[in-house]
Amino acid sequence: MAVKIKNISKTFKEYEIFHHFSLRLPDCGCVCFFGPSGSGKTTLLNLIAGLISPDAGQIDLPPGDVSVVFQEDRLLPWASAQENVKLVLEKDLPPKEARAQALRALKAVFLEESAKKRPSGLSGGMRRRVALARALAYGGCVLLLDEPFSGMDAQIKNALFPVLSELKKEKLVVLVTHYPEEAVRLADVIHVLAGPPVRIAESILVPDGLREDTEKSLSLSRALTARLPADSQS
Amino acid sequence: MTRSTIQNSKNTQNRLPGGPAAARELHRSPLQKAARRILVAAIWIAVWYLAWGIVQQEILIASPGEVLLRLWRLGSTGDFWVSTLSSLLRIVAGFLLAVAVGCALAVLCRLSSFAYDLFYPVIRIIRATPVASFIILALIWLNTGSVPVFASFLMVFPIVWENVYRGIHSADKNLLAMAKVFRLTKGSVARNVYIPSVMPYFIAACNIGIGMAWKAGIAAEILGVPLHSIGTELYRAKIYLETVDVFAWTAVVIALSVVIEKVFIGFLKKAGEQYSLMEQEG
Repeated sequence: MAVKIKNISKTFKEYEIFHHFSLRLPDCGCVCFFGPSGSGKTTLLNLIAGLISPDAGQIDLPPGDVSVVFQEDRLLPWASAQENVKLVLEKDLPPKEARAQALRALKAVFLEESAKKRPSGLSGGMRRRVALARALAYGGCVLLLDEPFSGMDAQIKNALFPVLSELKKEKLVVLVTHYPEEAVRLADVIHVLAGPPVRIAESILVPDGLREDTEKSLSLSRALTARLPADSQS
Repeated sequence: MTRSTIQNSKNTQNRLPGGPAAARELHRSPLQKAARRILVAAIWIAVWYLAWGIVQQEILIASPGEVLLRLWRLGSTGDFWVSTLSSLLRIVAGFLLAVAVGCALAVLCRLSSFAYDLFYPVIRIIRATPVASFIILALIWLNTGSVPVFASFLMVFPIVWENVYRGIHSADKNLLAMAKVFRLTKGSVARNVYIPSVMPYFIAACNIGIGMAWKAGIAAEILGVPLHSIGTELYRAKIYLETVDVFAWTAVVIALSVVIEKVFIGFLKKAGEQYSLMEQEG
């Protein structure tokens, strides 16, 4: 069963962010919501995560858990990286196993050496990786990623793309970003958002072969950059 | 030291609670700290001596030497320890009861807005009512031994309730949303989000509350005159104009309050250490 967004409307104060917005997302693969800041990407993600409810319409989710990497890290400041990841495993696993699985998740994001450090001892990019490890450890059939690579250096990003590419084979990964390269590297379909009220200005299918072709990837990245307002282009 | 290091060090000092003075205190050795405390105590005892020397009337101000001697004599009697222990038990009981009820009611009020609306006016009334009024009413309702417990409870309970309620309210909304998404159990949310948020507020409430409990409890003992209590001894000293006794018993109350505060707050701080935001390696 796919994620179905059915005719949702949402108003914040007097601003109508969504007006009868509908979209169907596939069971697996990576869907990217691309657009400048303020185009409603994070609100859409929060609606799918169930953190906010639509005023009208409904969102159907497949049975199973939804895992999220929030725009802010949302880590417990008083807990180590490992404890932060272990936290989401405690419900289902005995402590020893949860600890071991948390360490494995940190290893997947190349952070096992910093497992005992608290968020205050980590860089911004490292904190993002802890948040990603937490979401990976939690599992579920939908993984929502809100600007997951912000603050990470290019080398780490390049190492993480294959991890997420592998993951999208078995679950739905929803990526929110305003960086064209991230969208091109991961997404199977890129929905360029405009508004508010949020609407899909354009949907771009990214064939697998395109990623291997540097020239075509760059060309798509440039095309996406051109869709951003001048002050959002970097 | 480079300029940036000096700048960083200055910034750190200004960020410390208590400002630059607290930062300087942090850099002193234990020996220096002890010497400083002894010096401060010596200065104030000298001021006391000076005042006693100027006034020259034992009925108004007792000399530090006589107070110390009186304390020594009191300490060698069994009655002193019975009175001290009885007062200690009553006041600590009132304080702990206030902590338990204050915390429970704060949680209830956070869970139910009706409970908040129901209890908030009562707590406001308790806070605004002079403690002496409660003591007099309690003397009508209760036996004299229970009145100090009741008075200490009423002084501490609103402080604990308000601080714990605020602490719960201050819990990070982003962390609560995270807990919702990852379906953390209620126990896990309490342990990992609420308790760390409440801890600084709770410690502050207890810090203030202990002193208040002693003040209210002793006042209740003075008015109620229960058998075996510090307040009863103070009342007797007042009746017979034994100023030295008033000073000696007051010194006992101050010492007990400070010791209880140090022990209890030290225990709480130790318990809350894991929630400290300072980086810990290992």
